[in-house]
Amino acid sequence: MYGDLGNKLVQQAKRTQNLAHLPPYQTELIRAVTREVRDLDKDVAALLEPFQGSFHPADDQAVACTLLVNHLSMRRNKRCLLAYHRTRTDRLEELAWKGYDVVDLAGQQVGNGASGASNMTGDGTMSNLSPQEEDYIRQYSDLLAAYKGQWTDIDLTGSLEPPRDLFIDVRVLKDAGEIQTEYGAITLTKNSQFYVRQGDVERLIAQGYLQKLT
Amino acid sequence: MDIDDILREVDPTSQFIPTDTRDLQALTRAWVAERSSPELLHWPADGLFERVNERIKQQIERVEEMTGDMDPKTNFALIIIQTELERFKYLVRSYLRARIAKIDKHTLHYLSSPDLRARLSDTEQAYATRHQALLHNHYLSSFLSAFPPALQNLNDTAGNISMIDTPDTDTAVFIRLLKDALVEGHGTDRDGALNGKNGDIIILRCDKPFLAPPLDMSDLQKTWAKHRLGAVLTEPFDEHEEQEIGTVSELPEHFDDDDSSASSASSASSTGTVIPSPSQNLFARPQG
Repeated sequence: MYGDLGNKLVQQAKRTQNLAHLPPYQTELIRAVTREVRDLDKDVAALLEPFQGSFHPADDQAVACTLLVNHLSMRRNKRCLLAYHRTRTDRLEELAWKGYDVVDLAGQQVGNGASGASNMTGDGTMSNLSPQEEDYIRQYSDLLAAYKGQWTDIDLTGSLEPPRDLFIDVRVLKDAGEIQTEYGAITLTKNSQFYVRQGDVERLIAQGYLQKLT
Repeated sequence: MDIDDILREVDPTSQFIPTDTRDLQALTRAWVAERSSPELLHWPADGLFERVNERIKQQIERVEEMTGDMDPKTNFALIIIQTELERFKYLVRSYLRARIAKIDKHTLHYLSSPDLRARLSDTEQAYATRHQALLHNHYLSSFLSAFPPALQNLNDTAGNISMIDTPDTDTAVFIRLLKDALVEGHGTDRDGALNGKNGDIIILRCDKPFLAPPLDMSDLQKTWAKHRLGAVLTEPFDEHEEQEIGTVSELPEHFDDDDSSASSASSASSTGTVIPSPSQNLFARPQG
């Protein structure tokens, strides 16, 4: 009661910030915190009922104090919930900006999990999202695509590193098939090395197919 | 040629530079300012990005035309054009992303008043509105709809904590003076002022760095508007508005819409010169 569960949520959120992957959605916890808020609200209503809307805090300080604590706990819980969800949506948006296809997210994440831990969630990342989150990120991706569409020539999700060289050396880490460049088609087979235009392969580097050699 | 020379060329006095170059400079300035200021700056109103976009399109077409040519000379030119193109694109991209990051972080804040909204471009407004709606829906379907109705808002201010997060306007910014002027800053204990020379670079708190009135009213506003927040607001100042403002004391109010929460931090009457004491560290000036 009184914010214990909310605290757990915040700890979860904090933990999420340092993880390479998104941990499972805490459905149970969310439900429990929401229930707590509703219970507190009922308590408040019950406490206020005998007063018929003419409650004066100065007359009955014990009740006033209880009310205050209940109200603060409810607001705190709300903040915790918001913080938890925002942390997760921020993470999802980050993925969307990096160009991961959300429908394909599970596969991408496992593939990306070279940095560890994501094998823990063996059955794929999609199950780590709540259905609402899946909805959200799908719609956000649409929104992002629409916004990007305004700037077709710029490639908004491109690299934020200032460009240094037009052409770079890349090594192929995973078979990526054939890509079209203005100098003709290149077949990217594993362990081969190419000297290509950076703009052509940026997306593949971001997705971990290619590695930039410096 | 060092960075000062480059910046100097963008000074309003040098009008003889061709528009292409000026646009690139304006873009660079907007980019630098946007990345170094804590709050969102105005979207350039003079069609800068339309022109830049147009130019990028032209260059892309040109590159496509030249690609067919196998002449080594053309190839060399092609590489230069493409490199420049990449840099141009990077500037625009980085600028837009810096803005989007700020908008995403404080969406409700920037949507909360018409003045703040006006800083966003149309697409940015559409994006911010839609993004906020998505978030709200997500919260609602995840947990908020189960809450008591009184607790369902996202913009409460109960308990003296506003739910709308605002940018921290107390952080420090660098400004560079384009002409001599008296600069005032607000310290923790008291305010301070200093006679700035043309070309000086000063670090001071962003909340309301403003320049004390020199003799000429329009001069003040122009410098002020241009110097605040890294000194790179690019849009031309509205002449009409200048005439409406009669007295010096109205100046800060005029700009109040730019300041989210700091309006109480200073008042217009503090135009008297205060000599900064050494312990105050209000300003740090590079020597020489």
